[in-house]
Amino acid sequence: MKTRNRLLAASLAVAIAAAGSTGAMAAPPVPLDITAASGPAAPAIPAKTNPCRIHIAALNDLRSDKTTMGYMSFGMVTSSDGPGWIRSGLKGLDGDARFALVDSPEKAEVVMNVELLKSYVLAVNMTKAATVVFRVRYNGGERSLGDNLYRGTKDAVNWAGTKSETLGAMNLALVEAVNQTKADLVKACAAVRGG
Amino acid sequence: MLLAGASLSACVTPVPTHVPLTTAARDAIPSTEVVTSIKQHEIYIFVPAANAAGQGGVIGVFVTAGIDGANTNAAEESVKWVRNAIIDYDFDGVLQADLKASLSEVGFLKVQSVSATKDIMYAGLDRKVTGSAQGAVLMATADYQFNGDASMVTVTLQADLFANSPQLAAHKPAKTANASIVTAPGNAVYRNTFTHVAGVPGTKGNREANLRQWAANNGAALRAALDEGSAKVAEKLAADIQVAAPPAVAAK
Repeated sequence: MKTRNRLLAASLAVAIAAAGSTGAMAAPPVPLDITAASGPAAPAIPAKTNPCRIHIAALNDLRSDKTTMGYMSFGMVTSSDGPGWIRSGLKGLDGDARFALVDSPEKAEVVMNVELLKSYVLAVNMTKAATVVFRVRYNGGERSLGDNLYRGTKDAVNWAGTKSETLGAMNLALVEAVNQTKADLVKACAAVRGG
Repeated sequence: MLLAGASLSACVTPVPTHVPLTTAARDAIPSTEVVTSIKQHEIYIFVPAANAAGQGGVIGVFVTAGIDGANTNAAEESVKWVRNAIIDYDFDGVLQADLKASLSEVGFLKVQSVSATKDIMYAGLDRKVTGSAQGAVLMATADYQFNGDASMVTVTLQADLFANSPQLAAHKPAKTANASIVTAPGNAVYRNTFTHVAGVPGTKGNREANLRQWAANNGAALRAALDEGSAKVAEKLAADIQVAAPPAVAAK
């Protein structure tokens, strides 16, 4: 029964998504709102030996539309706190033994200045595709250590078309983008420590 | 069952894709706000819906979902680099500027402002119309996409002119008018769809090669194609809305 309900829901999700692709959609139910509390679960902090101290400084929201993140079968996905959501994902860096997040730039070896460029989810036939794009500018003291663009994505079958399923895909896209920063963080830390 | 379907279809008047603006409606436009409605955030590759031929029921759903997932995943993965190449390109802003330039030349519209929304729900669109300070709102719903092998970029613009004043509301199409939804297509006093297609001289069927051409030089070819597509659909709209509907023939 559960499977049958899921399949029916999936069919419904697809039908509504398809209808929405050519025009306006019917009156929306309560949207899925993305905030700092929507982010991935806080990481377990491992034992660390001389980790590189990192501070996440500015988080500028440069998206052209800061309030809408897409449409799924249940309705709109909004973002009343997109930067807070990205910051919650970046806290995942603390789960890596090589890094330790610190609360001020004075205590940090590397400072990350983050620009949020894109964050959205779209329904493509029976699939949902979540995307998060941000740029990070790295500084070590007064010194610029370069910048890079990170794009996290998660495509998955839109089984039941629920809010939790959508949020799960968005968080996985965020985690992928955050994980992409690690290689550059290692280089930035080495540059600071190596002089 | 057949009879029920027949009677239902007989009751519903389909909304034409093209509703020309009558001269009477044109004369009743006090002023216009142009609202662009673009739901996408980046360019995408069109992925046709999968069809698991011969597989019915539960198995069919799973097979179709699997094919859809694989097709979408491949398309999304391959288009990443092109998206990154034009990460700073603001199609929404380009289209707004083009519409403002083209439609400001159409005197009878009396365009006062151009705004944008990504809220494509009827409730949100209705609020844009009823909350407008202008007596008419031109909804310009746009889409831009690659075809399956990324050899072409298509820009599409759907234009719907809605009344926000009693004098223009009197010209709503009687047969398709919808009293409960302000921005229902049947309420448009003018509507039409415009497309512009641009291609790269790539290898047909070779998506990766075509995407490399679009992405080269910081996405120069794609930026140019989107610029051109936006300008062309805006020009087509400005030209078409000035073509008056033929006068109604009096019933004998």
